[in-house]
Amino acid sequence: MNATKTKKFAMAYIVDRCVDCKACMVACKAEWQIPDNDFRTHIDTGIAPAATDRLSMHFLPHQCNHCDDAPCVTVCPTKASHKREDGVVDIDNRKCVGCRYCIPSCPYNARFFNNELGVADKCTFCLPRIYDGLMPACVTTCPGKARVFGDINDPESEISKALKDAADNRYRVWTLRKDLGTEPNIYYIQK
Amino acid sequence: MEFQTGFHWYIAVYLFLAGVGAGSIVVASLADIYDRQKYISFIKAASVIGMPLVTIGILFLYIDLGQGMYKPWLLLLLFVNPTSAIMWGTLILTIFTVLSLLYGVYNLGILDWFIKKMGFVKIFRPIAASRFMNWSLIITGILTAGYTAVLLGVLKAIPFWHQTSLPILFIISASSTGISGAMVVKELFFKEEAHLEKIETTHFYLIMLEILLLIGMLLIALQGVPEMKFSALTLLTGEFAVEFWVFLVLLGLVVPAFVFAFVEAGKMHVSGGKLVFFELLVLVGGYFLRYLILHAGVYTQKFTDYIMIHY
Amino acid sequence: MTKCRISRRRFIQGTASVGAALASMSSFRLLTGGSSAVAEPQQGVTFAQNWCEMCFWKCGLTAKVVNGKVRKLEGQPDCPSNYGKLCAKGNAGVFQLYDPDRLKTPLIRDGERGSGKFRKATWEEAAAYVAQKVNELKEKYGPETFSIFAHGSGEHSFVELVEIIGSPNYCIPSYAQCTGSRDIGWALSYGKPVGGKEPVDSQNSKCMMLLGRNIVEALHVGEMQDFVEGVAKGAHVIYVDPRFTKTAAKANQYMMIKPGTDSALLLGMINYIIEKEIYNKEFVENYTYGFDQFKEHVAGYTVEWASKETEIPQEEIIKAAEKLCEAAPHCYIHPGRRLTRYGNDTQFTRIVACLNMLMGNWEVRGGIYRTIGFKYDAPHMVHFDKPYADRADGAGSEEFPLGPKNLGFANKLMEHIANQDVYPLKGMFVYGCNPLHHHGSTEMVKKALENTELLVTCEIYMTDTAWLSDVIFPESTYLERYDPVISTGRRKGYIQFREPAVSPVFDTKGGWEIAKILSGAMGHENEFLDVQEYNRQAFETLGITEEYMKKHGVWVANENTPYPVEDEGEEPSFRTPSGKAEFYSNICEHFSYPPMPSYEENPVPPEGEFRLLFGRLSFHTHARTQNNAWLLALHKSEVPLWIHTEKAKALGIKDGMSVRLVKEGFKSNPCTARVVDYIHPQAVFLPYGFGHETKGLTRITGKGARTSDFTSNLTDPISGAAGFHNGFVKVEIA
Repeated sequence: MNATKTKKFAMAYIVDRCVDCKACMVACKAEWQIPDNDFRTHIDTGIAPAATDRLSMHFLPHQCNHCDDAPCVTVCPTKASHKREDGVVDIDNRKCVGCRYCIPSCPYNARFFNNELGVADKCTFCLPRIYDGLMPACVTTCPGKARVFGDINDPESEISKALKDAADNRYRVWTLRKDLGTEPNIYYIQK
Repeated sequence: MEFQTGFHWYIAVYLFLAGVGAGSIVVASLADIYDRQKYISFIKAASVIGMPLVTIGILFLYIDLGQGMYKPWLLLLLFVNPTSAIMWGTLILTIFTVLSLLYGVYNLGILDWFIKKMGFVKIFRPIAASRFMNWSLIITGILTAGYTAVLLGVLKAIPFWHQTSLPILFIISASSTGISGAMVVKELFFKEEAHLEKIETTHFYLIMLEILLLIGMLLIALQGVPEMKFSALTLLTGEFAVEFWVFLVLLGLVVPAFVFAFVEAGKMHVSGGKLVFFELLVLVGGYFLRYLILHAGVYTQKFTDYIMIHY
Repeated sequence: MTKCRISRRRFIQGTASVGAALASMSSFRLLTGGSSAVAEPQQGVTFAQNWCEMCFWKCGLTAKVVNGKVRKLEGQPDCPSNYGKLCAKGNAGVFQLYDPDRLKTPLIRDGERGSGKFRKATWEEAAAYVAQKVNELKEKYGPETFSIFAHGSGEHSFVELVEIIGSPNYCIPSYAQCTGSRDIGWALSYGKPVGGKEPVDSQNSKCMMLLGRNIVEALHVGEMQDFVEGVAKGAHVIYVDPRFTKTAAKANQYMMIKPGTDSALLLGMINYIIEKEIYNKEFVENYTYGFDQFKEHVAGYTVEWASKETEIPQEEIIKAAEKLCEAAPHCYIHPGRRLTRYGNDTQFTRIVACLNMLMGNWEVRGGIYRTIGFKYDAPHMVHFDKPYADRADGAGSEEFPLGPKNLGFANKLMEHIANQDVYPLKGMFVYGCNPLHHHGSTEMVKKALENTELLVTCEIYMTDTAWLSDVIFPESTYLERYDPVISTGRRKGYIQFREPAVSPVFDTKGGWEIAKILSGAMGHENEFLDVQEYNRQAFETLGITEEYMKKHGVWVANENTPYPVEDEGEEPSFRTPSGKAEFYSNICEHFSYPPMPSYEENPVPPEGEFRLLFGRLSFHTHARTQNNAWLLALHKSEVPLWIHTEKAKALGIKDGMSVRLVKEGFKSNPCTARVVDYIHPQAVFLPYGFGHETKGLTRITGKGARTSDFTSNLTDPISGAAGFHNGFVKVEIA
């Protein structure tokens, strides 16, 4: 029997390496020809707390979490939003009626309405680019190498190594809004 | 802080019109069961607005669509995913629209006109006049009004919507605005003398119930998760405070409640133009209820667990 | 619902038609609409090599071209400038290429200056017009009446054109308005300038101290990559700035300094390090000059005094000093980049250099590495006789003997044009820069432009300066032209190659081509090489093939170690008069400048006013990229003005409000208030490059404030470079 397991794509952000330069946002826009005012990935700049003894500012990259139990897939009436075998939550543009219901359904603000195409739009982990042997555009361009991508079912992939390294070193690893049970596939790693 | 921009006012209009339409038909059907002769003017008035408003609401939904608008065959796909509230909603709305159309044309005498032209249409008459019809309309009407809230309520991403009181609130508001809508039409087009005190009493209690439910909902939201609290505060003191206090609370609820309370107590008689005015206030309140709940929900912060990381 | 707007994709589909469709708002638009007919684009996917021109770091990139349209830019993995990475600006180069706001055809002014009325012209017509004017002015005032301000990869095309005309007055503003003082101060200490690619070895550093060098936001990919590597490896980062920047976010120790007192902080640290004898004694003893005098000189600058001056607690200052010494020599104190602050920046750099000397970090890992360049016998694009006249700006004159004649003083030259006090300066060329933004005083520049009888601009966009020009030549962007190959030095020396990814989208030409046309029209017989011919000759000399460069885009030519002191036991040597790193500068002594740096107090803003600090956002370059829709979307077209919470409160300003800067009655366009605790109350911060007047940048005109309307325009007495940060402003609600 064939020993190859199914793929499960995931991404990790090494938060310490993110400097909020927004290169990922623009690379993604160029790769996918996203309308001028929209982005498939974002970096939020957080300032916390307002004024205490120690100032701090942190940067939160985010995009579609490709949830295992994705609310957008649940609520999509036409099954245009669907979860693929390889873990990617994809939108079939041919099926999308553009009802926008999935947009507020996403706890991660990952989706936006693409006014040029009349459909919901979001990150696809750069399908089919990742099957051409390339990394997603955001990973390729990230100057700080904050983004790590790969198949978490493959122990040799960069993401598996990054997660293992984080576990070995007891770095903080978390996902966003775990409380909602969406089982997201974007990991945050911080020393 | 990023704000959702998925739903805009088109959707609020849809939620409102579907509510008014469904509410008026539900109340009219109840009145029909109770005493058709006595409430015939109200039933006719409700029939004028019931199905048309729901249809206009759906039209707003339709023009809000992206490519579905110019590729209407895609709408068939709305029935393929049973986990989506939209699938059930579309089903309910379709049934309700068909039934209320039949009920409306029957009440307004248009059905009889058709029967004169095309004899076979008469097979619909007994259905339209049946108790079965009335009960079907009551059930699908309540489901329609409730669906507009369930649509929002199933989204766990937006805690302010994600509460059981929302469908109840919307059903009550739908009934209340439905009565108002029908009363306006009745005052304008079916001026025959009628004794609608029971409906007015019901209307008063519905408004009081709506006020209480809204208070309860906000009190709970204020103690909720941060996003929920944030949403509630955008209404009470924040971004939407003016619309909330002026259009929803004062004009849409408090003023009509007072007026109808005086009417109930027999200290005041309101009819004609004045009645139309106060009923219109209720309708304005009904629209703002949808609009504000919609926007307070999406206008909130997210990722709070990250923001609260301890450094 | 379909929003009413014009998508980028549709622009790409038919730029010409969209240009015409937009042409309704002004006569300018009518004139710039339309595009040239280009050859049938190649079908399928092809790749072209280039280096990025969105800023000046020269990141190697490969353009992906699909059916004749550039779709994506990606970094060349082997290019030592950026190792395969591109920043937001670099990625947005695609938008710039197809931007309908670009200049699309030569233009000749057809109305009052500033009216924005231009008429379309053919290249021949525009060149003939310029040639006639130039020859008239030359006849009337002499050839030295021309000046050129130039910046960018093609700068030498126009510089050499002006030299052919016979004028020595060419300026590269990156000296006087950016790195001049720093490079002179560094050279006085170490015998060579810092250089455009700062040789600070962040990736191996154990401790880095940055004084307002906001690496993360004034972003150059390679430099920032090194910094992030260093941070990830656990270096101790000390960041000093009146404002908590994104670089501060990555620092272990952030010190909010009172603006204008950086020298005091460093002198206090130097005093402490010398007193405690925790400096690198071996290095100081063997490889430096004048330490004993210096020790005596700084004896008065105690930590206590420094703390008082800078408003930084003593413990923090001591901690910084100790952290540096613990890490020495694998540490550095960053010499800065744009060091045009208070008009005494050369001496400030001297202090930075002295502190670095105490660390003994010369050419070792984690310190200051040796820039590995690559020199070869490069061909010449054009041969000409050097002009004989003296420069008007005083660079290299008795007043400024250290001023480099090959870069010039852009600030002083512009002043002399405004005042016409040296000799008549009546003709001005501007290539790729925007004097109305990068000078310290817009008023002075405007006066200079008024005195100019011929103003010729070569640009890709209708900048503020282009808007006031007499003739505008539209240049092809870097993705549409060849340029002579360049040799770049960082830890390796490498050759970079640029070839067009697509034919010009509009009726534009490369800078060298334009210079050639103009030179010919003026009747000069100098032969310009074709750029491709230049490259062929260069490749022959280099011993590489064009095919190799077309494939890789970059050729690493020199891989000598950048850490010779550490790796090869080489003795540190310096091209100073003493042959050592100089605490006591012999050159300064020779020219009667203070040989050792002292603390100079800078003026403090009066009550009710703020010191205007300005700098870059990580996604904009100078005043060049602000109109790029992809980059504008990153900040939703808002121009922030940072102001301290308490001060804002007193003025009634709330976060997000629309505010204006005011100076002597002049008011800026509205900015968006960022009311924060993490800026020093004496200062406000404004990102550079907004507040455009031109009507040609449709997305950004009138938004935000232009820094040059409010800055000071001081002159450093040694380097001659400018000082901008003594500009004091008021803030009011718009």
